[in-house]
Amino acid sequence: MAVAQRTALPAQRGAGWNKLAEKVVAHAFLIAISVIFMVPFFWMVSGSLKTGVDLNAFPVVWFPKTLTLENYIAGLQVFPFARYLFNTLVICAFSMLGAALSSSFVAYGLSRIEWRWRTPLFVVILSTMMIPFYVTMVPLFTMFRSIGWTDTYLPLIVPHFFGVPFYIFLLRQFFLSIPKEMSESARMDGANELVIYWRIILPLAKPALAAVALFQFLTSWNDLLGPLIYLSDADSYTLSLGLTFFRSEYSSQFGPLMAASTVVVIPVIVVFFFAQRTFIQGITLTGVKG
Amino acid sequence: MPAARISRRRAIQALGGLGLGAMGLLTGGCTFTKGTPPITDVGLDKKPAPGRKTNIEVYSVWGSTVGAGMVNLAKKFEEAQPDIGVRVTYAPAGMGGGAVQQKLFTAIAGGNPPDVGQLVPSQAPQWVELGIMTDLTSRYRAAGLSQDDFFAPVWESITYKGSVWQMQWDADPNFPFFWNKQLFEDSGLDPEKPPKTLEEVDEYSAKILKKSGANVTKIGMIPWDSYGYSNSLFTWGFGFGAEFYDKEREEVTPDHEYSVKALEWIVKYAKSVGGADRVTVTPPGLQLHPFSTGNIGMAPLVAPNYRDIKTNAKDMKIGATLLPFEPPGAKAPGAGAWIGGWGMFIPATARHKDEAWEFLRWVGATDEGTKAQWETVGFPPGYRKAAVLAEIRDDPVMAPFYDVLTTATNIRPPVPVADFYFTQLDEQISNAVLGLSTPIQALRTVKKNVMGEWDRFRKEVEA
Amino acid sequence: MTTTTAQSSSAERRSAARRPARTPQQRRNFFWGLVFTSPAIIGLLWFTLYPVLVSLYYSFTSATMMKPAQWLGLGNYESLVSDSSWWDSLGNTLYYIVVSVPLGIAVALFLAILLNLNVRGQSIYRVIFYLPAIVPLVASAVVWLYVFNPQYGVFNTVLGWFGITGPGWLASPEWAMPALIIFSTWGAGNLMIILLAGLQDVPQDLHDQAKVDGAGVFRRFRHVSLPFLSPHLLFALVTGLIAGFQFFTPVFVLTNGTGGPAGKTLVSGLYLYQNAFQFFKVGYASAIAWVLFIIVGLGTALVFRLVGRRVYYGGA
Repeated sequence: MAVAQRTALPAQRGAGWNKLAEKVVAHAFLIAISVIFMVPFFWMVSGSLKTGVDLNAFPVVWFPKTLTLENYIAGLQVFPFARYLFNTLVICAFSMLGAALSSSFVAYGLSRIEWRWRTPLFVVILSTMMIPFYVTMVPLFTMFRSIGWTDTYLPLIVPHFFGVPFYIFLLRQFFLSIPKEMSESARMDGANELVIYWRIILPLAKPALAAVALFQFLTSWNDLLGPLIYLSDADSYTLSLGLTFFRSEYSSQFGPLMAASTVVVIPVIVVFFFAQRTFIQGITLTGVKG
Repeated sequence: MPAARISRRRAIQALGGLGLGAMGLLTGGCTFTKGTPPITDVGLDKKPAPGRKTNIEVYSVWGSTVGAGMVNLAKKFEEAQPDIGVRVTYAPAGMGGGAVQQKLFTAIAGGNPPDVGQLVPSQAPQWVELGIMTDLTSRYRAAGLSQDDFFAPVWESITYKGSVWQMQWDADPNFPFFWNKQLFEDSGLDPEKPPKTLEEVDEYSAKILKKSGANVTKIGMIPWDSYGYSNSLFTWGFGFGAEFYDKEREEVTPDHEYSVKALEWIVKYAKSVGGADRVTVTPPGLQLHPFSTGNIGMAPLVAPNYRDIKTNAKDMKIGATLLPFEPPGAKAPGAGAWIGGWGMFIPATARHKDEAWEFLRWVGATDEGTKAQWETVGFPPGYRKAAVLAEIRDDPVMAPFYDVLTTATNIRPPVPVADFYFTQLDEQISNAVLGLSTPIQALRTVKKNVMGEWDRFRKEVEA
Repeated sequence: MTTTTAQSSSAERRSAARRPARTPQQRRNFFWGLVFTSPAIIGLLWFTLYPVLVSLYYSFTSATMMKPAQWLGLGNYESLVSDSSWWDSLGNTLYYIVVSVPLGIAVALFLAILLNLNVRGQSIYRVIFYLPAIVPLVASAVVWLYVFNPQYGVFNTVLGWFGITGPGWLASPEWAMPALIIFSTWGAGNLMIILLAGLQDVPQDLHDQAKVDGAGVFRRFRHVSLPFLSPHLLFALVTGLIAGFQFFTPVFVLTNGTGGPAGKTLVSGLYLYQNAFQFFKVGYASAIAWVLFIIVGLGTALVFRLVGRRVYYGGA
């Protein structure tokens, strides 16, 4: 496509200028918004490198004169970082897998198959999102305790293998957008529903699936309440619990907190960087669609 | 596919460039130091020492140095006796603030309680009524501990309806009164002469106040922000001579004559500086209390904040005295002081109550334990006979707090709907300070709502 | 053209749904429908049913989590009616939803469209635009406390350049809620991702065709992109509504969870939390939750009724 544009340029100068103007405007917007969106990140990183004096300065020191690594040394020592990272990744990996698989599976049943319970079941699933977690938290804890799941990762992982309402709804919307004919022709060829789900629908919904995986990764990565109430053995704690180590009643260890947060954020940025590539992969498929 | 690979490589390069650019911006012409880490203590939890007859589980709600101190305290207890091992479980309070202990509540409600839990002493009446706490009266008696062994406000805090329910191992003296000598001097005040009465506070404040446009840049004091609205009213209300509940009549009295006077004074103060929402001398979320910025003339401070300022802003010249008061309701400086802090309790459903009690007694009411606590966690004990109090008295940072600890007479109102009461105060005082209601209206609303809630609670508990 | 097929097929579907499952095709569909939704059905029965029933039961009792509960009948619900804090919290929540949901969708849509343009360095921009959703709340909250600072904050500094004295933001009863809304909108990254994924469904050839027909940017967006995005906009609206009623963590982080100043940030989620965990009124909190459930349920039904019909599903 880039090649096509380049060859077209000398021929249609006017159109080229328009294109150029369009790009300049687009970049201007993108850069302006980037600056706004970078501020907290920049703040966090610069805070992690500030000395105590600069951290406490007011008005704020945006560009510190002296940088220090002391916060990283402290921030990574206060809790066993590598161990918590590993624990968190275990929870994240299984939750992602479970959420993406089960939610897409259920969403398929709610969107690509015509059957009687389709709408009522969708309504029920949607309703469960509307009950605030805080009123079901204690009964849920009691239940998990009665089957001996407390102090394990099971309460944090297993429910994701049974469909997450938010993702089911999300994927349902995507699946409904895929033309019916795609399933029909496969059915004509004798494919059963499992094959259609796996071979046709899932590949077509890759951007949506990537979004689901990403959201679940982030949710598990940042979840504080779940690990807090279900885990009691410090060896099995997660990074989000680790980050609370820097707070005390009257003050926070701000520098180390920012340092640890920075280290915690970087893997997420890497994951996102690769995940986001799938959001644009759909483009190659447009020929099939529509 | 090759196209994709190129774009990925380019993207990674760009990402790297972005990071380097950010670093460049940061590092442009500045020095880089390795520095000394502000915290080095490791671990906020511990496993019990091996080979003990019984192991108890203690919940610790603190992060940072206090949490690490709690772990070291438990280790010292294990060294002091051979039988009991202590598991310290880190159970942070509040999701993003507040004293709500979700892990503790879920564990107790879910039938999996620790042997020792932490609480703010004023929460005890409600928790007692709800059947969460173990009655410790006979254990106190058997250990030979009685009223005389504790500071008067501490004893008042730990008893409810004639029984003892908790061990207040941290008697937090709220507050000594500090002033910034430099700012006093800059404002033409005598840096060695702190205000004795609130009238003098007003007088000094008028001299310290500086504004830039509508915004305040230097202020004498922020009387509505002495650790939140409700704590502010307690402090200054006691300073006027107010009482916040009537034990005999089982009534809350937020509309007490002097409490109303105190709020009127706070509201007037806010108005005199152009409104509470214009006071912006305090930066948010700092490691150090805003008093350290040098923009505030006078402030009541808790010990950890004062200690941090002393260690981090060494050049700041700070004076310490007792809280100013207002006659005729209050009689002397320091009348506003009250004792807060933390207590430990044994959940009613705990499994190892005897061993848990041994821990409580050692930490809160023995010479050895209180000293260990002072050396690890670092709070003044509620145990009046503790030998370590002499050390605290002679400590340069703690000296003003020692004075408050030994003279304070007040506590926050220990009523069964205390948290509801404090939340109501927070909301209504905020209304009054922002000029949305008058002080008397605000405090009467508090009274009406809290009494309604108390009636409801009473009915519920009795049923 | 597309609309007529959509209508006729949905009519077919409706009549098909009404008939009992008799034909082999319908029986087969019912079987596969059950197979595919079985994880959710098992999950509902295993993890959801019990806690939900317990909380429903609690809402009719004086449950405190700690003591045996006593039956109150509709007592909790009656108390709600005369509880002025509850009405205030409901009002604050509605204010939040009415402003933040449409605003959030508009911003996310705008960002998604920008990110879908064919310009160099898109993958970097995408990472940057998503940063607010990644940075831990504790870190970003502190930044925003500075941004909203009446004196040195970014907003009031910029307003100051134009000679305007900015408000007290989080300290001001009128401006605290707008400040929270700004904070939430800035974190619209997840919705942006969804809409970006949705934009991939828009066939490029339709766009090109419209271009050849002389349609401008806005017409092309309105008539080509928007129909394909409509399922996702419906999703955004419904989940925004549901999340809006449970919104409260930022309130905790930015205003210390007291609901201040002057109760203007006391939202339903916070009020429920206070009742359950600060005042130990679990029964009352459950009643709050169930009334919210009914309100959200009605709201969602209304959205599906008003908006759902205009949604264009390529597969329907």
